[in-house]
Amino acid sequence: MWHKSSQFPNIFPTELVVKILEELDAFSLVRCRSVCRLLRDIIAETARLTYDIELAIAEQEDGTSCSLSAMEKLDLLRNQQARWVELKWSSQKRYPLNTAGLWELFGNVLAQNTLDGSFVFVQLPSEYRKIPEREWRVKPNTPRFVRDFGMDPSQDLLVLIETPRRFAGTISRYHRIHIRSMSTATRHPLATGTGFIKHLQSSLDISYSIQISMDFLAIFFHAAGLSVNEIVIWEWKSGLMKLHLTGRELRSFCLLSERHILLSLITNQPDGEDQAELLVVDFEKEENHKQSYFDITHGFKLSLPVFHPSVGLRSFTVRSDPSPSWSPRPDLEAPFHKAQDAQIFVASIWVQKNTLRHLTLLIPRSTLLQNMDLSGPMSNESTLAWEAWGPHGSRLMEIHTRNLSFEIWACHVFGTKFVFSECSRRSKQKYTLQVFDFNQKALRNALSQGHKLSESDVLDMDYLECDSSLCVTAPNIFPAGDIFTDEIKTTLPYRWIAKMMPSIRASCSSMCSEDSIIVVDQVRMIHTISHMI
Amino acid sequence: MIVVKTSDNETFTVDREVVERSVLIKNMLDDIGENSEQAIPLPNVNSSVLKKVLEYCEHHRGEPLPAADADTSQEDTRKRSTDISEWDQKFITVDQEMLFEIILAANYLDIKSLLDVGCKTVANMIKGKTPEEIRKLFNIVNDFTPEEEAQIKKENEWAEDR
Repeated sequence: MWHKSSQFPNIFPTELVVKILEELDAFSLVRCRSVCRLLRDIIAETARLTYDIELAIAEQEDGTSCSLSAMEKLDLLRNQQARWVELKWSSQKRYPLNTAGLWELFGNVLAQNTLDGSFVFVQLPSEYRKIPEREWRVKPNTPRFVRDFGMDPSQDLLVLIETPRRFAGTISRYHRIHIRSMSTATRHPLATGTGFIKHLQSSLDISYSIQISMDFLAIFFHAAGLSVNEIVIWEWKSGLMKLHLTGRELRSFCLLSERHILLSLITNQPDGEDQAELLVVDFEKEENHKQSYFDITHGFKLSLPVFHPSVGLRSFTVRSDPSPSWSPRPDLEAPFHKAQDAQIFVASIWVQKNTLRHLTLLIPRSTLLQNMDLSGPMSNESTLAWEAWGPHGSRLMEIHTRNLSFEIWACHVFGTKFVFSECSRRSKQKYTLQVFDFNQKALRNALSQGHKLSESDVLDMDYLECDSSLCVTAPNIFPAGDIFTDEIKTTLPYRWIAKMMPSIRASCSSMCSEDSIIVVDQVRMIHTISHMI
Repeated sequence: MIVVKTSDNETFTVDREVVERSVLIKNMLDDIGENSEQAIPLPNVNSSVLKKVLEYCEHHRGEPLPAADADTSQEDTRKRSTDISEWDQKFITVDQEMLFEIILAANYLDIKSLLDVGCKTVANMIKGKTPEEIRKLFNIVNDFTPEEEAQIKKENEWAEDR
């Protein structure tokens, strides 16, 4: 017969129990620590295991190219989390922006295209993840005129859209999209052939949105006037086209996973009213020739609430950052980084009802990917009604802002965080920075630890001058007949953090990256506020 | 051929190549030299367990041994896979008592790959089970006070199904 000491875990020396526990994921570990004192104590006393559990709560992944010990990483992680909860930074740094050129922030790299055609990159520092500041400048020989650019520092990839030329005898614009290396501005070593992708676009005045995710380069061509918008996805290494959709209704996009793209649509309903819809397309399965978005066979739509007839829909865009398969460059040796699933999609909706009003709809990636079985040809059956996904799977807020340029800042979202700054209602000169964090695991953890809870929706409060950090579980409610026909209630909880920014005077916009909050003020100085140990 | 002697005084005669998958025995052989006729005593392993262990070593004969400094890279590799090969899977399908004895023997004899298979097997038994199911599986007594239990419940709340 077995006696007590011949059972697991007592039968094994501690190091063997640890070895077994190290094979488990965070969820199984959490269950193990509820089993008995011995397992609880071993987990609590083993940095590696505690680190795995806390990584899961923080929705972070371990950085495999980092040589720090589990104990050191655990300290860094706790420090990072504590600082984000209170927005406690100890370092501010200002970076001047040149006034005329294009600029971009992605993957913690600030890039500026100067008037002489050079690109200046700054790897923004992170003291708590021990990432140093680095600045470098490159000047591509060609093209002479860059209309727009995008980049992915983790792949050393710089994508340049050359100012398009008119195609002989037509109004079509001939685009050359150059695939370059960020470190040299020459052809990217993994790009085949000529090192550029050709694309013909039939409208006159075009602006672009660019996103890169692993092997995929997606460019949205925003056409002016009555022309048709286009979204194209290429494999940037081979130049092969994966998806090419057209439609006036298409308004913006972001990549949703390794094989899905999310598009925002403003469609005209049979009753003549405009309606906002989201469209998810599986671009691995979808045909790769040019087609109207309406002819796709591998996608589904998600409806937004029905707008009141007195409301005009002015714009509807979606944003998310970073790209779905993003991870930091291995040579940065980041101890940990945002987990792939930890991602919200921010839909920005401008409506006209007497005045211009701004709605923000925040949707976690899981809400969007949950209903993949609906995927099929465009029809009513493949449309998910708002009631089926919105009320519990998202948060719809009206954000009062005087800052109409607010939505142009691509990076006001990073992972599960959404950042927004606004001038106080009481004092016109003082800016308050607000972070909305939709990490549900951290939130539930904070709530069970008795963290401060807000009984009301924070945006109803006269909040702008306070320094606080609250868990918000109260619903947002839009009354029937105002913006929407019916009463619209959303309940997805979030953490709200507000922090006064006495050093900022002029009107500003804010962006969020993995390690810092970046505020761009009106005199076009960019300054970052980094977290430090 | 090498002779080893178990805790219950049984002797086994094995190919050196097979028995040397145990780093402990390999080091002992290196120390005492080729020609020793003496049986190597293994006071921590009984004959039924050693039979199983030797079956494993025989099957994996000739495969490269992990490098001596494998421990340092362990942190990187440990997450890589909880896969167990088909043969190993069949081999390790034994009752709990034997499984634990094999793990202890692999640890004592220093046979890293067998230790990995054993630990992964126990981990796979735990995965997906509730605390109560884990207790039942291993016959563990819940030794928490009600206060401790309440505290742990709180700490684990984030992982509960929403």
